[in-house]
Amino acid sequence: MNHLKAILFAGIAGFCLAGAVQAQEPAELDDLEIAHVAYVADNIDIRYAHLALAISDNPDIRAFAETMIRDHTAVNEQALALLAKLGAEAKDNALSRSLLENAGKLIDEMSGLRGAAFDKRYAENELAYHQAVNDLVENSFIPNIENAEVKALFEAGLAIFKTHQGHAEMMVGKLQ
Amino acid sequence: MSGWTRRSALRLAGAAFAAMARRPAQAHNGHAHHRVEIRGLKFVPDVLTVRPEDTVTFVNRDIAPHTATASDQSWDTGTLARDAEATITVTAGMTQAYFCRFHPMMKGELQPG
Repeated sequence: MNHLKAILFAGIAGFCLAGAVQAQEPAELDDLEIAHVAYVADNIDIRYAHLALAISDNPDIRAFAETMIRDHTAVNEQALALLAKLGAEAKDNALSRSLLENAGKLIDEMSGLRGAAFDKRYAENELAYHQAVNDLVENSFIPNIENAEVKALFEAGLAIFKTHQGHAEMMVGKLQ
Repeated sequence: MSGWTRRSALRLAGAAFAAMARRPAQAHNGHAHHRVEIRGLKFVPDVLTVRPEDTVTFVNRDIAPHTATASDQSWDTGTLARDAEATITVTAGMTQAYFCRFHPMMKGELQPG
């Protein structure tokens, strides 16, 4: 629950935990649902990066965005290869849909920004997004993944995404 | 830096094989051949003692692509995809400190022996 709150506070997901829509707890997701969330989360960051490349002239922002595309694409390719090897298919779920919906809103918002305002918003979101997703992966997903190969892939991905978090933190500091 | 050009000193070796990954430094014509593996977003070893004419092969064992790039960008392996490798030849006076252009927190050093 705390991880979901972290995402909410980061402004990247609008999980509706009460009322008509009752989302699952991350710990309740099975391996194939977790794989789907991770794949979607990777693709969301790739979309943010493409937006940054379309709008920003800041060399640091552009280099970071290119790294996000390069790394998240590489991780997703490994994930697809592993799923193919296992003869499995990632399963869509409420968390994936919630992440996508909120990413769409954020992209709409950031699309209206230009110059330093965009750079600051993009960098801050990258930091918040990586903090929230890394927390989710480390504390909710990895302890609950059953397949050893899937778990190993998540551990390798987490190491990469923690580096992104550190890089984003540096970028935010530089833009202050 | 002196006499160091990317074209003359860098030999891109293409895809590597896992069996070669743990090969120790080897001597050839009196010059050592070293290997630096990139694992878990770290250069291993991150500090290497080298002499002119030694060669250093960088091999990427991570999912993410990496580079080994001189801190002043005077030499560069280029992009190393997973399991790809590139070899540089050490020259006198070359820039020792290096990093990954994609992940600037990743740093290493080639120390003169």
